[in-house]
Amino acid sequence: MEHPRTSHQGRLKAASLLESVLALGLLAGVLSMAACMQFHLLDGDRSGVRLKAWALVEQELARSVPSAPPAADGAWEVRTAVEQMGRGYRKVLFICEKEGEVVLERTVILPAP
Amino acid sequence: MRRLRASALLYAVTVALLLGSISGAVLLLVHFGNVESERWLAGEAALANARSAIHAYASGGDEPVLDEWSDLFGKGHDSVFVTVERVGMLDRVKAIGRKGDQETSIEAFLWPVPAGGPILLLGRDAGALHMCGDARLRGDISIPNGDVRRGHIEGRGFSGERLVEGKVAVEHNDHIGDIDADRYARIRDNCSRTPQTDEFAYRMGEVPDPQEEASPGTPVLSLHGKRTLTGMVLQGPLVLRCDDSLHLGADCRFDMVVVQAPFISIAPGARLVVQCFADRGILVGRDVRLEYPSALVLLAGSDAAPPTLTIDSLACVEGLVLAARRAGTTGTPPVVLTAPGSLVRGEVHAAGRLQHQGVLRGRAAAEELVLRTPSAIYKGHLLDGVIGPYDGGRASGSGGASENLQEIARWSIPGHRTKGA
Repeated sequence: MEHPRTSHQGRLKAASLLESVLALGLLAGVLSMAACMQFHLLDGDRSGVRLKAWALVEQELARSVPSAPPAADGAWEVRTAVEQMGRGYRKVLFICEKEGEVVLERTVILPAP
Repeated sequence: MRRLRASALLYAVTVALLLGSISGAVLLLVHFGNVESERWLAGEAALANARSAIHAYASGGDEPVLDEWSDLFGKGHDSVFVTVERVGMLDRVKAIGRKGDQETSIEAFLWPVPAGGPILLLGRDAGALHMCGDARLRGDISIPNGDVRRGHIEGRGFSGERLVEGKVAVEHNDHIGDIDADRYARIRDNCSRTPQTDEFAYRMGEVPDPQEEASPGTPVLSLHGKRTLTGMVLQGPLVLRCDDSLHLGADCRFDMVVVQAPFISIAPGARLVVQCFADRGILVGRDVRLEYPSALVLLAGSDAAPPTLTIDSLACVEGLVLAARRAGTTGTPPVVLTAPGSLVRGEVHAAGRLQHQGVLRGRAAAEELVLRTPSAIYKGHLLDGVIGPYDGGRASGSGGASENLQEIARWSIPGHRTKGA
């Protein structure tokens, strides 16, 4: 059965109900997959978190003397362990945690203050 | 004319492809952003590891692993490569850190630092110490007989209240002139102007080809005959070697340059960062400023006349002033003269006589103190000389027993590289 398209009709008509369902399903599938992948990627992405952790450790380093009580910033916490080395140097281990999960472990050797 | 009919499914597929493409592009962009962040983090971690490797070397703790890749913290992912080269009294330490596909290199110059101790040490034959004029000792001292007196010379009596503003330790200090083997080897090699086997030498007037692969060692600029240098600008690390007397003009601009010559004089008013090594004498003119980390090192041989290291009035030396005697020689011991108004920040070490009339912030070690006047030489006299503890965060050491620290005198600008790029 022919349904010639005319300018006043303005929109397409589905050939059948099945075709409409398939089309809508396809669109919904693609959209949900894209959203899912996006959220998955964002969730799996640690670089932003690690950048924040790195910045917190740098702040600790800038303070020169690692804080005795752990430095806390909301859900973040930076713990330090200091080991003295020979001739006026020390090894400092920084452990940066977010909500109890270790995000970054970093060891540096620094002159003693 | 018949028109094609488009089905809704065809449109849906088209729209789905469009949406998929846009989503894919957004995802890729986010992904590349994350990869860049991770690379940046890896580069910073590699730089931090390279710095830590240099600090670890400076700490002198465990035996350092040099000239090969090693795991800095033993966790399997902190690779560093450390090389060390001697540049005068400095250690030039280069470290490369590697993390992922990122490599970062950085250099540092290490300078020895004394860890406390007395501000003045005199040898066992020094005799009594006479304080004259405005002389001041602002710290602990170590002298052989503990005899410190008020002196009176050239019409100048002691003007202070306390002879020593610190403790006086009675010690014989038998080995004032001794320098540890490593330090002595540096002094001997530089003062002897011995060419190294791997050195990369230029003659004056030669312009190195910029396309030429850089030499791994410090380049050497050779001069022949008696020379006066004016208006020369040298950016080190670089060795300037001359086989005769060398005079550095006031308009020379040297930074991290090692100067080797039998006799070196620096014109009044010069501003340099330089390490001078000589065996016949060094003369630092009036109002010269030798900035940290600078060194004046004199190694006396068997000459009958005592070689002299003179720092004229208003001159300032930040670093090391050292006059030693060549091992196995019996010549006249060297003399160090610091004129009134001069300032040394660091250490003065004289394996002979020291005439100190300036200001020293750091430490002095000498066989004996003398005062030469137009009429006579007085032993054991300190006229107007001031010695006090170092007043900054940086000082130098000469190889004495109390030296046990190395500090970073200067960092280079780090260089980043992506492996395989």
